[in-house]
Amino acid sequence: MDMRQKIADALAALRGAAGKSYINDVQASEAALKVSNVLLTARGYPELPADYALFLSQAAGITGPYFTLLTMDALPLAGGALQQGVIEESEAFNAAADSDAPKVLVVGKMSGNARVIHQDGKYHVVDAATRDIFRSYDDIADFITDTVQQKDAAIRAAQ
Amino acid sequence: MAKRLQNAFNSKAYRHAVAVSVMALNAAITPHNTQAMPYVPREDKTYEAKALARPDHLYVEQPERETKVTILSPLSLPEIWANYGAPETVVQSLSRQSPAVQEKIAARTEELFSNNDFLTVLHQISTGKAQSIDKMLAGIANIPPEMDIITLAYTRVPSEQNHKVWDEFQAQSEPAFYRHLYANHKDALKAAGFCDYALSCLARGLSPTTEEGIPYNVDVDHIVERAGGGKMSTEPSVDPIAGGPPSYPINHIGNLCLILKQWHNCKNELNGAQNIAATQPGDTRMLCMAVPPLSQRGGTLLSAALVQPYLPPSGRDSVYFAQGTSLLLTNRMEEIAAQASLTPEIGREVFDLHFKNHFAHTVNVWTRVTEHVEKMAQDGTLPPKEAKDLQATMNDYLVPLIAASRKTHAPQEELEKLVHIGDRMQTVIVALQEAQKAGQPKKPQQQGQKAKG
Repeated sequence: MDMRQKIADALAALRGAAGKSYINDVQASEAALKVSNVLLTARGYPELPADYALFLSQAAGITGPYFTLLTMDALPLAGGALQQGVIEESEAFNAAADSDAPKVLVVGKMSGNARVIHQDGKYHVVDAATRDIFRSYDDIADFITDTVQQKDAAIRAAQ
Repeated sequence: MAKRLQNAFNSKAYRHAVAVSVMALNAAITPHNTQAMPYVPREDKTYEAKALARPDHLYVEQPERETKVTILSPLSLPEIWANYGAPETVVQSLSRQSPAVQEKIAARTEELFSNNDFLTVLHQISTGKAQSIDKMLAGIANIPPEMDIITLAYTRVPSEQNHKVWDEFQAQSEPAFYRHLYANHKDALKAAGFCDYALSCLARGLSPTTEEGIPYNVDVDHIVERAGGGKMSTEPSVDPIAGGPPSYPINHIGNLCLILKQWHNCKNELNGAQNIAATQPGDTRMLCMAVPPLSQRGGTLLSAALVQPYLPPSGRDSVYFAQGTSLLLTNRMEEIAAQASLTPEIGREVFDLHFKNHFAHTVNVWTRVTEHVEKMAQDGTLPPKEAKDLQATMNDYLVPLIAASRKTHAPQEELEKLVHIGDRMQTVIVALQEAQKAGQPKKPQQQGQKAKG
């Protein structure tokens, strides 16, 4: 399936989920994404994965009860606080690592102190403290769809 | 004679002697009843027993410290830590810290060394890189004063087991914890700023959001770390609060806490600085860890910090809230302007992806601060001498932000919002300056001088 369509379907699944998420409706242009990659490269990070750039071109960031997917800007939190963006979260994640270790790109967060990282061509949900890998996905659409399904199943089971 | 006394006081040996007396005095007035000790003493528990213990047993409530005497020590902070037995590399690192960091660590010193295992933690970290020691001390300084710092045995479970525990948390424990919060703390959470929709989320086992799906500034935290809980992370038992089928004690409601995100981040940074990721499965080591005090578990830890900051009755202190967000945004804009040649055509697109939310937040904070300052000026409660501080904040934070917005070709209508705020602030400042000249309070005019930029 075309990746753009796959991401659109995943976002539709999120919109129809049991809990409501905030989906930033800003659509990233090619120029804006180029600027993002300039900033990431300058800090020693890999460029945004192609499918993540496609995701940002449909929705620049998601927050809510399922997961947070970051954008380059901050995302709003209730009460006036801000969820920081890709660069800030990546810097925090890499701060504990050795300074000569390759920098890992953090694109999202989940409850239970988990981060969504992109490494070796895959998205991994990892323990922020130990880096243990909990789940892995080939693309961001698979991550969105599977996480929504699993969380909704948990909520149904709890009721 | 006076000179000799002064010299004697300044001598290192004399200062050491005074410090020893101070410590002896503190020891004499500190309760020795183990029931009243802050945490279970090391000699009473093995590492394994600590890992097995329930959190309620681990953290006995802190006794009142009314009997403590605050005496300004004549020793420097590194000297005090050296006297406590801190390793040389740690003492050197402490000397390298800024006065602000040292001040925060000084306020924690007695609490830290009241845990016998804290020295064990320091000796562990002392063999690592100097950078790691610096990070840990900075991590301690960053822990909010509302949280306790304790030492705790961290027994690493294998990755696969950590994975199982996380899965269980996602599938069962987290929804159960939210429902528990709704059933037992909904009034406190509402008072802390949660909307009705957020409470309905909790009732359904979902993390709290607004009706738009925007989350509150909170995380669920494992008090004893999930990956380092030893048998708490490996041997299921029935949760004494939630009941139901056996689950890992690390995921039981008694070990979970709703915590502000920024506090959670501080806690994680301190853990990360101790390189817990390097602990091998099965190994146990002592960690220095931030935990919410027992009296503030559950939802009550949130308090007013969940909602927009209360603005203090001083112009100088109010504008403080606008400084951080303005500075971050300005720096980000300047960085992009320096690294990418933006045209007006792509300025809006870059703004939408990189600045839109942060900009809206910053404008919101400035608007609230401006309204607050205007009201104080109208009420006559804003002293004219504050004109100088307000002007400095305008010049140092708002004007550079306006300039950076222009440089990155931010949309004109957004730029106008900042300029309008600048105009309003300038009106207040001019009125204050005039009042200062006249020597009496004067209410501001409707429209004043334009903001620079």
